[in-house]
Amino acid sequence: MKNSEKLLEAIGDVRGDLVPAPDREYPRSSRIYTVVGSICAALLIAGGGVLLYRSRGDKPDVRPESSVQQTDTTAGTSATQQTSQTTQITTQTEPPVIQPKEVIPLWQGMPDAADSDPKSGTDKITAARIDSGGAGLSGNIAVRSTDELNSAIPWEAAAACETLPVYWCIGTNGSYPPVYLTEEQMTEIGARAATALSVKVQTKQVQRIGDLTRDSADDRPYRVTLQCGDVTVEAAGDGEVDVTFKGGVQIPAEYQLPAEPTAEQEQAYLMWCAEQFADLLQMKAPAGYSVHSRNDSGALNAEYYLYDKADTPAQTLLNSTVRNVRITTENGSVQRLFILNPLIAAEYIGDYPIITEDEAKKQLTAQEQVTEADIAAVSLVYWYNVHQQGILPYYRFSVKADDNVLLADGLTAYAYCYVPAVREEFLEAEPAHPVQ
Amino acid sequence: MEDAQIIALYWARDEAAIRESERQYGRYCTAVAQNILHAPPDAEECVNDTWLHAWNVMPPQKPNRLQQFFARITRNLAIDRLRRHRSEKAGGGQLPLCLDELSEVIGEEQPFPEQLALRELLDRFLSALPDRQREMFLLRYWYLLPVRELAERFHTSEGAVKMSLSRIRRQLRDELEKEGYSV
Repeated sequence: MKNSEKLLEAIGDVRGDLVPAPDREYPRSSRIYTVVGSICAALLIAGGGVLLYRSRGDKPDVRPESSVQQTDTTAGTSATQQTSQTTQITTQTEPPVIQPKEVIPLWQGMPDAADSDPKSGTDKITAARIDSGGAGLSGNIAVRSTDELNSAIPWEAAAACETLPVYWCIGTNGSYPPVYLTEEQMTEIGARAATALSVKVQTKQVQRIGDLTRDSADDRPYRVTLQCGDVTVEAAGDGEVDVTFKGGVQIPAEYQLPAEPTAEQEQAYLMWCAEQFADLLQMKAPAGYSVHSRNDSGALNAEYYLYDKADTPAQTLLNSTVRNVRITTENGSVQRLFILNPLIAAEYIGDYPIITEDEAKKQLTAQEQVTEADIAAVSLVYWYNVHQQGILPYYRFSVKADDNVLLADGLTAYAYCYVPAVREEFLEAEPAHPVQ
Repeated sequence: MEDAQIIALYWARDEAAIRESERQYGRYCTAVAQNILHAPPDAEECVNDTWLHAWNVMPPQKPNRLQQFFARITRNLAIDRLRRHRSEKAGGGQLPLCLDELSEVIGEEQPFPEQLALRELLDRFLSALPDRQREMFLLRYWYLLPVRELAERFHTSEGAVKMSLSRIRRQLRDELEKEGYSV
């Protein structure tokens, strides 16, 4: 590739916020337009000021501090959007969101499948069988070296166990999104998150299945969004809580991550995150790991996860792979937190005997066109996917893929192949969903 | 539908993800592809390939902003397609012109910066440019828009656009020289 082509390619990879929209219109910049524009702007500001003054004078805002604007997307254009055109005053007809005064763990007091008494599993369970990532296509993840495929998920101790627990998602029926928690529960979880972040809930929005399916008769709520100034808290029907910080939370200079961070730098950053969001996450023994992949040009995409180390290898594996927190970082600040806990919307089925890594590898090489030489890495993970109701352990193999067309030199694509870790005799004959 | 919901559909391997992507970002990605390819059927195919590629990488990826994520894929696919076209027959629209212009920035004989270092340098360089200059540069070298179209958009002459672009390229060359990559 020529240098000019490399430069053109690098330009294509510049920070997204620098790239203008392709259809952006640019105003003329001649003097007369500037003058007229300034006059118009001045008139608008003056007019707006008068309107604002009048509206405030007519109707003082008498809402209590704890009350919020309530909007509902089933009604089409939200009440907030409508009123914001004219005045900031809204009529409070719905119960307000009451924020707890003290910090309360997000899911405290709600049934958690992880707290069930241990028992042996006897029922047959369905599992997603070997799956190369969907649609039969590969090339899921690109790396420079196979070392990058090994994350620090603490799986070896769990793999040494004879049995591991299996759960069943109650809110998932094979379609998106899961519906389990009630609107009140989602609101409560979101309000707790707001208190933990020391922000006040200002508006609440409820998203319903009908919004997605265009079947307005289905008014089951699947997500509640609380706007708290520059912080948005979304609580979903399967217990997931997403927090978005407008403008981000600045990371101190000593924890900033370079383009190619070392493992030590990543750990220091993760522990800073655990401390920064300690009230929200309520972890007793926080630990973290990163997952590395590279984009087509070779730039590192690192994903960062925090989890709570538990007393048993099984619970630690669960916490690290499905009850964790994913942190997204951009421009030197934390932008979003995805806090997962599908066990809040699941039931415990029992502990099931598991196969060894070697047995799983034999299954993989027997069923798919995969040779041992193609396998670059393995780990044991709990895999939560809304197409499968079971939350059970799988051996996840990183298998060399042949889709390297779009990749820069030196990169290799790998696909994830999942093999259920539960012994074959406990699995239903038919897979939960076929390999597509 | 919000980005997070579309991403969740991809992660759920739900084909509605592609429908929603098309609905939300189809027009945008078509504009990106069309600006590069100037051939509606090719652009349409490129956009369809974009969703397929996105399906391939989500999971494991969870992009922060889908618009940029899709646009980047579309651009790469369109440029690849143009390269193939170019090897098949002479011509090829703006790509060879843009490459010629960029060859002024760094010669072909020089050692080229590592891609990551170059990306950081470009981010820094472009962030420091006035908005108008930065956008003109990226409309030319990100979207491969013809100079004539830039002149219309910026309400100026083609000569003025060429002059501006030339100045920006020279500034970029100076930045590269400062980093030790002599031209």
